[in-house]
Amino acid sequence: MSVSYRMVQWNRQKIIYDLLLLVGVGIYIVGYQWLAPLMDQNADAMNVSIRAYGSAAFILLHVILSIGPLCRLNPRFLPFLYNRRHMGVTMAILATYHGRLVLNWYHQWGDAEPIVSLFASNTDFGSFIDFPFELLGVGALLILIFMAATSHDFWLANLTAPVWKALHMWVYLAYALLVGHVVLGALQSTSGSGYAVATISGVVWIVGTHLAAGWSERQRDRVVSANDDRLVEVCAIEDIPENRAKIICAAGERIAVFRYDGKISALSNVCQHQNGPLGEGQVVDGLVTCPWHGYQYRPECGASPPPFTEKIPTFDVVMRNGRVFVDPRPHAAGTPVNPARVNSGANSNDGEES
Amino acid sequence: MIRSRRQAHRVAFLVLAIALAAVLTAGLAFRPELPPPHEAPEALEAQSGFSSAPDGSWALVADGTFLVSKGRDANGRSLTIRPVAPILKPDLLVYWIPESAAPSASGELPTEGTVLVGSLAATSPRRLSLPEDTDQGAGEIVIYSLGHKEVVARFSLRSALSPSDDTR
Repeated sequence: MSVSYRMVQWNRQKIIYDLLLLVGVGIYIVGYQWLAPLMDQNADAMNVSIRAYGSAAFILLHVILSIGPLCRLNPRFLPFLYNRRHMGVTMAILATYHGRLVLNWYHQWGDAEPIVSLFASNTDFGSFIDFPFELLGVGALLILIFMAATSHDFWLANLTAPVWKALHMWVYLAYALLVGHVVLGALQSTSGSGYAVATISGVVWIVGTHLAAGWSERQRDRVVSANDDRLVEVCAIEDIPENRAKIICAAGERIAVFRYDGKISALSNVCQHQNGPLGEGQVVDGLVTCPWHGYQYRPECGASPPPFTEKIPTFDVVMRNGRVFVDPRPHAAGTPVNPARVNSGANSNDGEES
Repeated sequence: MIRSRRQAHRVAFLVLAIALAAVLTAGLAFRPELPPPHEAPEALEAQSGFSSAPDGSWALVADGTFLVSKGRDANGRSLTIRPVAPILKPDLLVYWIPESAAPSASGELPTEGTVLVGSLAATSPRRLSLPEDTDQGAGEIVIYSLGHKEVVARFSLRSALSPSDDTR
């Protein structure tokens, strides 16, 4: 976090992440251009380059789209999420270069401008198999470039995280367009089964992991009803590990109930930065820390420590008979709330209410 | 993500699961059968008269600038012609000029009685079908550059086909 503007806040983790990313992409492209002519002696060099960059972007998109659901299914994948936006920008650059090569190779030699030729060379919109697959790629590329251009925290802060997230969910439309681009393009001009098997495997993997993560999240989104006192029962005190949280869904959104230093506080589960799941993070140095990018909040008031200004809603917490209850009506973001105190022996504080 | 985005995500992937399955299935079902790449050029070359090997032995003609070989194809008599070295003239056409055609200056093509039998490309051997009246062998083959409008080479068909004129 920082209050002074810096284009990219480089740190050791980001540099290592980006180096691994660039080396991986470089090895793939060089390897593809070396191997493809060995496997197909009729392959021309420019076509190999076009497919090398296009497939690199498509594979990288699969990696990017895998990170989200894998993190939901297993927190060990969280380090991959940390700098995912740089991966997205890299993928958009690869896709753009693929498009440039296609324009230069397939649309450069006619009497029309290459960009005109791209849109006018195939107008068989009434056919499925002969549909102008190039336009599907163009549509996807525009979305990917738009997302790369608005991936910076400047846009995130000014659009707000929910709007930014909604815009960036267009990546799913871009993915669908790219699958159509590959199925109606590359797959129609090759007779082997390799591309088909790879494409089907990729689609099954992406759709499968997202549906699995979505199903898992649906289970966690089951709303817990309030009792007569308008309180929602969370769990027994000992069910919350020290410096960790228990997450419930009440009043339409998730609430993270943290236990730390003999106290219990409840905050919105939604980080103000990218709406990350605060309740899946932990208390570090007395501050609730988001597992996605390390944004921090004071558990008693939901405000980031000065000089930072992020704030999230807080909730009243009550303990009865060794069990934790939360009032699901939120206080305004940053409102201080007295934490509930955990006496020594959580089961012995029957009747305590704080 | 906030709850409404998670709900949108679930709906989006339910729709994607159906749509992408349909696209993949239809895309593979209607996929054209493509011959292996190495077979396609051979068929096209044969269709265009390119020949990798002559039917008989080669004979040098036109001062050693062309190799010719007689043979037969589905249309009757054929002649395979192969430039010894690339001919640096544009649009090389091959004409049969019967003996009865009007005589012409050495660099010009007679307009009466000439028959276009094919074209040449670089040093590739080209099998060309000859007209029926070449059976007597009286006449000549002319290589003509359409771009430069000049005769590049000419040789007697009889001399090209000797010593054995007929393979039937």
